[in-house]
Amino acid sequence: MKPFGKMEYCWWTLIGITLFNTFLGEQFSSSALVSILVALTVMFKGLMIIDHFMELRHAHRYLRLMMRAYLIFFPSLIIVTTFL
Amino acid sequence: MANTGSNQVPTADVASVASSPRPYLPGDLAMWFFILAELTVFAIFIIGFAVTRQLYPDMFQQGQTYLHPVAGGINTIALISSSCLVALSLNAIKHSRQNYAAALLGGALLTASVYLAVKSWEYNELIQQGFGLSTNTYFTLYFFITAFHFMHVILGMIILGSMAFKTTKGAYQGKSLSGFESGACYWHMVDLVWIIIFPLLYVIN
Repeated sequence: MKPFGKMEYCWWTLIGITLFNTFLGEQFSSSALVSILVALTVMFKGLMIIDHFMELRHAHRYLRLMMRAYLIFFPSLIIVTTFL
Repeated sequence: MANTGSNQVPTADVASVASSPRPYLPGDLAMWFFILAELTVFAIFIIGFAVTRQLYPDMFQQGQTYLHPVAGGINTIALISSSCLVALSLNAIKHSRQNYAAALLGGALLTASVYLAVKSWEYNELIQQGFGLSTNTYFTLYFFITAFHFMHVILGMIILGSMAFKTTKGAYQGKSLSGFESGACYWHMVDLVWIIIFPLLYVIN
């Protein structure tokens, strides 16, 4: 049985980012910097999930591209709306 | 439904999939159409929420003060943990560890039920304070988006429960893992959507 070191590493990273985001939501009134930071972490979390949990890293190219585009597009909208 | 050859091999591990010359598709193609359709619906909700927030910034800022970021954070951790346990369960089943895989799915169901409990508590708190679907545009969108996601979590839990039951009966032993992978991908999609919804509703204002 292979150890699941990589998966556990992903889990700890995702939990760490979530706690950081929760801390931002609790402690800071939103600013452009907070919004950009949160958007980037959402992008990173989403890409980690589709690559490691969904195992799309080696999946069909179009499917992988579509899922990655989704995860890049929506957090990018958060950044765009920050400057509106 | 069309499926890749790699899914037909019951004990195929990730490494062999990676080195396979064929494009790999985790799960069934029909499930991926369903997942992409669901993601599109959530995308419309998210865009609608973002646009309306630009139109009524004060209402949204005020509405957000009644939400609990810690509760949202707990829910995020619950869904991420559940998703991780499902991924580990898939790995276990690829290594023919049926009982361990079923136990991991049980753990995934348990962590998912934390989400249901916390979200129900949140709804109860808001309703007790007099907020509902018709309070204002912010709460209409809040309840619509989160309740829609809540229903997906319930459906996902039913799928996970069925997968756990079938795993204990050895249904995936020596057979295609396509059904298991499809259910797992659906659950990861539910997690993925919450990861976008959480900061949008609770963190950014």
